[in-house]
Amino acid sequence: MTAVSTEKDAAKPASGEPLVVVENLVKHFPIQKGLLKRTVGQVRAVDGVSFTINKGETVGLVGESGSGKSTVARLILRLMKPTSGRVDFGGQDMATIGTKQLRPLRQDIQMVFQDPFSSINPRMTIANAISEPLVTHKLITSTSGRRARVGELLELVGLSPNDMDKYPHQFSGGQAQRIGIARALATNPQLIVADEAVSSLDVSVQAQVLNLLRRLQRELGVSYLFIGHDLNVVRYISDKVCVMYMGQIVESGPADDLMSNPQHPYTEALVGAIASAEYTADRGHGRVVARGEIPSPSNPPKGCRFHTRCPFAFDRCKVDEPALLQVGTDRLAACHLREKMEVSA
Amino acid sequence: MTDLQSAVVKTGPGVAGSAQAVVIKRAKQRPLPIRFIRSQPFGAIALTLILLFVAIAILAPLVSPYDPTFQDRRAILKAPGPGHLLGTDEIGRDIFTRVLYGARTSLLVSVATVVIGMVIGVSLGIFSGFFGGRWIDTVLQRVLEPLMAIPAIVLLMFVAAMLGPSVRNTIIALCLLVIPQTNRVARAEMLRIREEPFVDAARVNGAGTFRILLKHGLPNLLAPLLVYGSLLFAITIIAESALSFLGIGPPPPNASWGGMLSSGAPTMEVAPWGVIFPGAALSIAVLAFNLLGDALRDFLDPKRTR
Repeated sequence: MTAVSTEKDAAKPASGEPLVVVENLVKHFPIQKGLLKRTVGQVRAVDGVSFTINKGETVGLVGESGSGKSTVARLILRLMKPTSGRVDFGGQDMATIGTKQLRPLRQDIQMVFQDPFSSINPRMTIANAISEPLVTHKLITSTSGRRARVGELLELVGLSPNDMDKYPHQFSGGQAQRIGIARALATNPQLIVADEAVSSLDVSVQAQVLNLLRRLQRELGVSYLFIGHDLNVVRYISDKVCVMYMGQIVESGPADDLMSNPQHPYTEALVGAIASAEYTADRGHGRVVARGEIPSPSNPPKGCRFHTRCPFAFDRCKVDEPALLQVGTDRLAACHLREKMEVSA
Repeated sequence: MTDLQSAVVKTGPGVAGSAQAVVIKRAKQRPLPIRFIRSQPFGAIALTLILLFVAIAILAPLVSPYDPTFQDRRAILKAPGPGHLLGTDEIGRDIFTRVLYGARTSLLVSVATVVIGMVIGVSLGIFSGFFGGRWIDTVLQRVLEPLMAIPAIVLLMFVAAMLGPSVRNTIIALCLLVIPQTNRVARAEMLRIREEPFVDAARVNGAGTFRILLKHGLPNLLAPLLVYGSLLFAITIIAESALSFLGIGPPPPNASWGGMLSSGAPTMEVAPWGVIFPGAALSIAVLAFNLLGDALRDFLDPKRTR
């Protein structure tokens, strides 16, 4: 996959105009106990996340399972309401907007799911599944018009329009994911949120789907929020990457720069965990390994949330929560180590 | 083409091949009955038996040779033969006639129970599972659970004995048995469907609650309910017979298979036809509904090749 990554930079239109601005997004889930469902605590799934997705750009969101990546996706899509914070989309706040005003906005933000089979109603033909947004938004009212559009979309994602009356289970995983992508494209959205969109696919099929997503971005100028745990995949498709740990962004920056020169020990540990000679060989020092398990998100560690697992943690990390600070061009990191280095330099 | 392009509101210039876009005609499918017979031959046989059973129940007065309550004092416990095709019972009533009329009672009770029970139970289940917030769901389930905790036969006997034996009261008793169960089935399915990613996808696609329920909820609920419903027919037919056998179902002189088994039992050794034929009718009807249920389950599974 890395062999192809050179063509990426030439192809992207660098428009730089913000499409979605996420500001200080917070989602806490109450933990309820007993017969009366008393709230005994909060799971801080997302705890103050801010980032911007520009037009025509792909933002990658990486982190371990449980880091809150998918919750961020669901909040942006307004599949759930955030506890606080804003999701600014074209001047409107997706987080607080009323259901009536939300409906038309749904045309512009679409989603590709992890499991293509469970995200398509098994009792619908794929023609009906793909044309659902056309029906709900009353974009095409005639059946023949919708079928023409479905045929067009299927061709766009590399499937045969002749298969549109088949059911989802009659396709392979890769094909089904293409159907999911075709459905996401039906309304010509500006943003597609891909939540682990290739994680359930075979590696060879992953590459096909990733290339399809990149081709579609070139042709249609759509932006992606690409959520994944496979750093190679995320690096391959993303312009910018945000690294999440326990509901917070600990580091962000341009994809290649961030991966080759991580500034946060957690990112370093993630990059080090890729069993690849490419990343480990060109760095002088040994691999950074995060010790132990991810702590409980209902009771996050005080200070820096990563200090319990960080090999470089010192006293300040246990009491003082590091802020997300500039550490280079377009680079942000939340780590006291970097601050110290800035000061001494 | 122009009207199509204006209809595709924001299709940009980059979208491929709109000029040569051709509307693909929907492939013709074989008619439903033929597909069913081809893929489920046993189910088709079962369905035929059930249709026969329904026809007999409706046409009983026309096809039966005697009146079901007519007692021929000179032909008591007569063996099957000409005149009395399946013999007579201990007070000289024609068993063939009474088996036909018994189908009537069974059908009436089971149809009424399944229809009433399913409508109420499923509505409650959908309400509780799909819309139900914490309170509605909790209260509803706590109310229905005690009914499920009581063993079926005890509940049936209690209600039937309290209200007195009649066809109507048998239906009421069976409904009390059926409603909590159908509610549970529908609720569980709805809870499952509600969490499916395709429901999230529909919401992202701009579908409202009503559309989600109609297009995504009900079609996925229908198949398990149809299967469950056909099994429910079998269950209610047995339950009705059991009540009649115990003498708390539809009272005599109504012809009922359970009642015939009960009244034929004492003379079983000298006149086995008194229990064999109503028993056979009961077994065949129940077996047919069970087979139909299995066949429907396989037929309605979209993952089976059709």
